[in-house]
Amino acid sequence: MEPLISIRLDNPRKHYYSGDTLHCQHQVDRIDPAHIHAIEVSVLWYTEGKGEEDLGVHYFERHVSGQQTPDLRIFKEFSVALPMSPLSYEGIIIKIQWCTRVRVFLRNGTEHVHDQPFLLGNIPVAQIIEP
Amino acid sequence: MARFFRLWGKKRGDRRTGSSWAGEIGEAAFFVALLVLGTLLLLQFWQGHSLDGSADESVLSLTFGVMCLLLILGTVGLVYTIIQLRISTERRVALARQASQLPVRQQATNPADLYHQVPQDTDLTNSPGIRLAYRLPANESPVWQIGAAVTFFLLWVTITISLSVAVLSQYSIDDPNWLLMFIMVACTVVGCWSIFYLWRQLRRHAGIGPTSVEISDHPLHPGHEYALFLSQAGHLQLESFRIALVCQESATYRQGTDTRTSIQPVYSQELLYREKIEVEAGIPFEQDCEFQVPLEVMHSFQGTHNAVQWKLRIDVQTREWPPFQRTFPVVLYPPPVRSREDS
Repeated sequence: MEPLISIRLDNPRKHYYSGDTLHCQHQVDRIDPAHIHAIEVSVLWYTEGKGEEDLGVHYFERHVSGQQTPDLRIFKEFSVALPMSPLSYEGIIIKIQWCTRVRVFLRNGTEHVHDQPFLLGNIPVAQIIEP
Repeated sequence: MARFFRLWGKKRGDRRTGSSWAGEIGEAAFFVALLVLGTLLLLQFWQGHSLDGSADESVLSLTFGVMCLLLILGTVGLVYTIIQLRISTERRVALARQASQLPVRQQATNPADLYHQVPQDTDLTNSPGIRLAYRLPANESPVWQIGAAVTFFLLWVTITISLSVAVLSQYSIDDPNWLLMFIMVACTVVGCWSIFYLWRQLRRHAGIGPTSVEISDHPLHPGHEYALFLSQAGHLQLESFRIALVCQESATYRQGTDTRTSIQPVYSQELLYREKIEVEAGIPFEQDCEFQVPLEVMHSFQGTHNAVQWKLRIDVQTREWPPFQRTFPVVLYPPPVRSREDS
């Protein structure tokens, strides 16, 4: 059975502006703690569209299961100030998407990822124009 | 069966059909095979060489080199694959970013660290203008085109003359070498074309003349107003002269072994349009204009494969020459910080 990954952002509209502080709470559930090897949490942007994917990580933390943290399922939270750029963008052949991502590594070698997208900035959707 | 086992998968850049796990295993197996092959061959080579020392020295070193290369390729590839195997993309990017970070004191003064993925404008603001603050560099420089034409012309003429001298010195009326004669004639034709092409490029460059754009401030900020000064030299009769602030998306992707770039214009604002202008030699056409950058637009963005580029584009139609276009890149910064309440 797949683990249940929950991510909750403090802004219910999931819309932030540059300089805002993003407050995130996350938790992994529905899995035996002994099966979890590590958990990675990141705030990142990536591109979608016609080109190859570009990706930038703004915030990153990694928790490895050990004697100090035997149960990685516990509720965790973090806060991070959002950067000036790149802003979320919905273009014609390029889209820039921001998200909070939790990646769970299990001891059997499998990974499970969950993204919580959010908007950074207020750039309107691009329109096609004649060259 | 085909659902579980495919002989071929489709791949576009880093994205592919099929299991990435199987791909990683296959990659690791390939490098292990190289490593094992290199080691076995090297062991066999040493045993054989110690028994029979009569082989040629150069052949021995070549064989030894190839085996060492196999060994190195296998080892490096395997280590790289293992490192990649259990590291997520985010962690890799975070590690790379951490490794490239400058000391904190320097970061605070560098705008590149404040505006991530926004290109720097140092190359755009290193040339002061005569009337306004900065003279913007053009994207396309005619020097490269003319330089390429001159290089080709010189190389081809040298080859043609050398070939002609060699062919004509051995020419015999009784037994002419028709193949060499044909090659000589073909080279002469290409040489004539290169002279014509070079002459056309030089004439065009001299006739059209340089275009110069100066701007009152840089980088650009949304909502701000800027002044422009334009100058077009040469000896021309302009049918139309248009300058626009444009924005385009640029996406680079791999298709098979080719790398392609796709361009999509997403914004265009005409700043100036003039018709029927005569430009005399030594008296350039000059024009001032002002413009305001719109508020809600995407800022300049530069990723590894994707970009949002802003530029000032000049389109000129003349009587004597085909229409030509010159572009001057600019950098547009993101809007200033504002709170949720402001929006």
